[in-house]
Amino acid sequence: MSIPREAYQTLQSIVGPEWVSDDPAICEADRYCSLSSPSDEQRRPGCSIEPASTEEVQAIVKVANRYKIPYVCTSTFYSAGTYARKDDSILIDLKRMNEIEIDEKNLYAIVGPGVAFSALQADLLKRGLITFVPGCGGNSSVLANTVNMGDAPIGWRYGLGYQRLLGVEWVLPDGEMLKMGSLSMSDDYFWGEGPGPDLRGLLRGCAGHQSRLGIVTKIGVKIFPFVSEELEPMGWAFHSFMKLPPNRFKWYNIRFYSREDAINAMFEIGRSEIGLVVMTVPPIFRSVARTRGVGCGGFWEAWKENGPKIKPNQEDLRVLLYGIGSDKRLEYEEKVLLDIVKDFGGSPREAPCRDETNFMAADAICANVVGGRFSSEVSYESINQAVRYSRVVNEITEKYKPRILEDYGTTNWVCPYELGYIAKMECLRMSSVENRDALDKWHDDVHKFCATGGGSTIFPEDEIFGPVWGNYPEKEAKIRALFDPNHVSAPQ
Amino acid sequence: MQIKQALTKIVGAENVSDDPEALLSYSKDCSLSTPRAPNYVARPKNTDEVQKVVKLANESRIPVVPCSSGIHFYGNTIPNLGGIMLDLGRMNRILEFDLYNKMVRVEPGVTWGQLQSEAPKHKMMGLGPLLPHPLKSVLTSHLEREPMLIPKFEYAGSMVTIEAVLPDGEVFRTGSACVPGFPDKSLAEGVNPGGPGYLSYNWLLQGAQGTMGVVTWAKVKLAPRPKIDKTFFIPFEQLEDAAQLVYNVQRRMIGEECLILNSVNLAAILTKKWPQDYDNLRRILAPWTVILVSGGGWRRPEERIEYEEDGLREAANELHIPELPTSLPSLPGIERDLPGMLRNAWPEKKTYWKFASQGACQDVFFYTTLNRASEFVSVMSQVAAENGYCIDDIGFYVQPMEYGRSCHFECNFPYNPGNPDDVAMIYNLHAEAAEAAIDMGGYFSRPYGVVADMVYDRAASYTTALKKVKQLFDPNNIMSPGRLCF
Ligand SMILES: Cc1cc2nc3c(=O)[nH]c(=O)nc-3n(C[C@H](O)[C@H](O)[C@H](O)COP(=O)(O)OP(=O)(O)OC[C@H]3O[C@@H](n4cnc5c(N)ncnc54)[C@H](O)[C@@H]3O)c2cc1C
Ligand SMILES: Cc1cc2nc3c(=O)[nH]c(=O)nc-3n(C[C@H](O)[C@H](O)[C@H](O)COP(=O)(O)OP(=O)(O)OC[C@H]3O[C@@H](n4cnc5c(N)ncnc54)[C@H](O)[C@@H]3O)c2cc1C
Repeated sequence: MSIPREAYQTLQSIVGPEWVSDDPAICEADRYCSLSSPSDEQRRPGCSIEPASTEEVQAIVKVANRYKIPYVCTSTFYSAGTYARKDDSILIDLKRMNEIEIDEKNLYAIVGPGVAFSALQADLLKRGLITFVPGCGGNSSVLANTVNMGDAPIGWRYGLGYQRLLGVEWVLPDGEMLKMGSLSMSDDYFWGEGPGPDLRGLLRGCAGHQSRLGIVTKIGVKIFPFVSEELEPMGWAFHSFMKLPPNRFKWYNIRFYSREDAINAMFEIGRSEIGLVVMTVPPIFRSVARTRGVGCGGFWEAWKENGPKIKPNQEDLRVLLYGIGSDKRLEYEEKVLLDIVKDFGGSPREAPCRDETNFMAADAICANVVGGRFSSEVSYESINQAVRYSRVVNEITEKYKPRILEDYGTTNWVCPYELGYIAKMECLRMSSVENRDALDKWHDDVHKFCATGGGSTIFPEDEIFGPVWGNYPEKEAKIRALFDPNHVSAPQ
Repeated sequence: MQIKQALTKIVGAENVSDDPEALLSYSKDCSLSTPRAPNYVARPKNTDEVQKVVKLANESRIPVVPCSSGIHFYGNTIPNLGGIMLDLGRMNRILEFDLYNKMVRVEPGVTWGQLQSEAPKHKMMGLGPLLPHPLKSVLTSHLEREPMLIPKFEYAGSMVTIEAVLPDGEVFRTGSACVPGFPDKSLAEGVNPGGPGYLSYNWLLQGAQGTMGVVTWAKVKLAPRPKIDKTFFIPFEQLEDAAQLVYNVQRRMIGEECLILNSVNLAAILTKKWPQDYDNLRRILAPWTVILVSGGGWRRPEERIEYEEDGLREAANELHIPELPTSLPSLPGIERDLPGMLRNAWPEKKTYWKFASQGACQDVFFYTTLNRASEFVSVMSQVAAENGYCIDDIGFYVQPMEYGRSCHFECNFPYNPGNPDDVAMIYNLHAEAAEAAIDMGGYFSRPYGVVADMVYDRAASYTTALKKVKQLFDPNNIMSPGRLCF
């Protein structure tokens, strides 16, 4: 056995022998998370443990510190980055900690790490409320997602993940407890910041630490008002969806033949404060969606035929109008949208009044359907930056074709949030398995540009970005050393 | 003498002082905090000078206390341990109106008076607190997380990116403003608050009362200014009922400014002629008033107000509220004037509303949820009565936050600063009221003065972690020492 016997016995006594295992078969299963490509970096954990409470998590972390055993935690194990990078780590699986409490009146829920979006959403929809469903799917953990990312198109109206965190209960890397926001002073999760300087700033920046700074055991998370009408589930996988009440929702697809017009329309929709979702639709996304069920080969055949037909300056917007509170509001939103579309020369078409991804279990379909390998560059900045940056990314892509597969410059996605105060730009690129290194080089080039003038990226590499972005890695290293003196929290 | 010379070299002789009279004006404010004078005042004009002063302070181990506003209420710019008062009033430029992103970038000395008179030229408005003093700094309002009047915005994100001189003298830009070449030579427009990297430095500097660095500019959100408005004043006998209406309204996501005031505060705000109007208004106004401004927005303003009004009516019907008045007794035209008033600073020539009735005012404010607000009214009134304060004089202000998710609850105790007995009583009352509110679960996210000790004594795990972080960023403890738990 590679975890010291004494330590293992203590772990057994903390959670009970049935909740910890060093069986190689079980540990091997916990080596890879759903979406990572197998590599040497992923190590089989020395044991896998499933605590049921914050006290148990704290005790496990203290044992890890005493014996200097590295640990990594997972909530629902979907992220591409959740795995042990050191031999004989403890894999802490938090799925049993799945309590949900909802404060309907004051619009927040308290969740443990094991609560998936689908579980919370099901409870909320019954009460005329909603949470997010991120692109990675309803199966992922509300807590892990909110602490680490927290991005979904309804952020147009309801903001991004970092704005949804309220009270936080956090087991620091050395096993000490940190309670933040209103929770710091009473048993109440309703408010997030302070007291005084806001230590939620340690928990995440643009993205979170991916378990490299301890384990969050409970959070208060914002939930939002929604319509009280029931949403009717329809269809079968892969074509399941929910019917939306047509008196309260309306989808529009709007085609613009000038990208500038589309962007200006997006700004104007923001100033007019309408809509629940506003985004561009990269033609490749649409093609992927249409080829569900025909597999990877089917997609590429269709794409070769349809891709070249796409006009280079064409931009489609997709807008979900939202009559929260009244039918009359939906009518107002529709009139305003159609005015804007007219002013900017777009042609609107109403789309079926249903939802597949925004309230229901979303799925990152692109990743799976087109096969091979993909890489993506994600940046959160302004709508203007998104458009200009994506042009540069297109130029860089040209250098690597044909090893990077032909996308006809159409895979850049602009998804603004908070009524346009901030926007995501996601540039997806694909290659065959053999040409994966082209993607790596592409990514490197993109990041070199980003660091020195492009703007913003979700996962900066320290070597490229650190020296020009205020030496942030040094500051992070100091914070980690401060709270993780034994260097055991998911060491890299 | 040496420090004065060094400061003179940095900011110029006319911007340094150790003249006792000049220092005296920084030693006290409108709060009951014990006066303490700084040793020097320095008035830098740019980031470079701020940086040099902070470096000098590190070398000489002398405290630095930044101040941006031209007026202070809560004792948090009083130099508890002396040192250099860094008065940022000269840094008062509006650096950019970024109209695409609906933001403005301001230096610390930009006041609410200044911003709110500039913003309308761009069809925008600042997201301000209730009737800020005209000399109050816009930057510190956002830095100190003051509650905004419009509950439809996510409050946690109003300050987007900043430039700060950290306690060790490093100039650091947060979020996407960290990109080299910002703002002129990079694609980034400084609208992403996160990072750089995996920390949010904005958050660590917010609510810090000058202990974590000196902010030299901030990019903050604006909102489109509605073209037309309709204002509702809905009277209530009981705060519970007022709170319930606010829940109903916010659930429908309608309205711009939305707040609840008791008759004392509403009278103080709306009085034109003191004292006769004030006494009269206090008598005739309802005990509680919900003020809701329905804004016509950017397009089709009449239609927008129409559906909002329908929504409000529906929300009111659920509570059997028969009428939705759009005026107040004996205040003709107020429905027309109020939105403009709320989107402006308090007029410079008028005595500040909180001080108008008795000359001074002590506030106790914290967060709670709307359904608990009335419990706090009872307890605050009880503590006031026990201290011999006339409970009819207490002003209450309840500001719903984020669709009614919580509220900023504020009690204002006007008092006569010329009467030593009154001052002593208020001093006690303030401490006891804060203590009682904390015991009931009132959350003081911005603890000032004596309240800081009460808060940090209780928030044990937070205090421990905060002290570690402070030690890391400010090893010599030069930034505003003696404040918060430092
Ligand atoms: C194809 C794909 C598409 C995606 N699309 C989106 C998207 O649209 N929007 C979006 O927001 N995100 C997206 N993501 C990223 C996604 O946010 C994360 O993958 C998601 O949060 C993982 O969910 P999980 O709950 O299974 O977390 P896990 O895999 O359990 O954990 C995620 C990370 O957080 C750490 N962690 C887990 N629990 C805790 C805890 N309790 N305390 C501290 N750290 C913890 C883990 O160690 C790991 O590093 C996508 C990812 C993929 C692979
Ligand atoms: C109508 C009205 C209502 C108010 N209501 C409230 C209320 O409900 N709650 C409330 O807290 N306050 C309220 N205030 C007052 C205001 O919030 C405080 O006065 C203010 O936040 C404290 O700052 P100051 O004015 O004393 O000093 P400021 O100069 O504004 O400084 C504020 C704090 O930040 C620090 N600081 C100043 N400049 C910088 C800088 N550039 N970088 C870093 N730190 C800096 C200072 O040292 C100080 O600790 C209200 C004011 C008015 C006019």
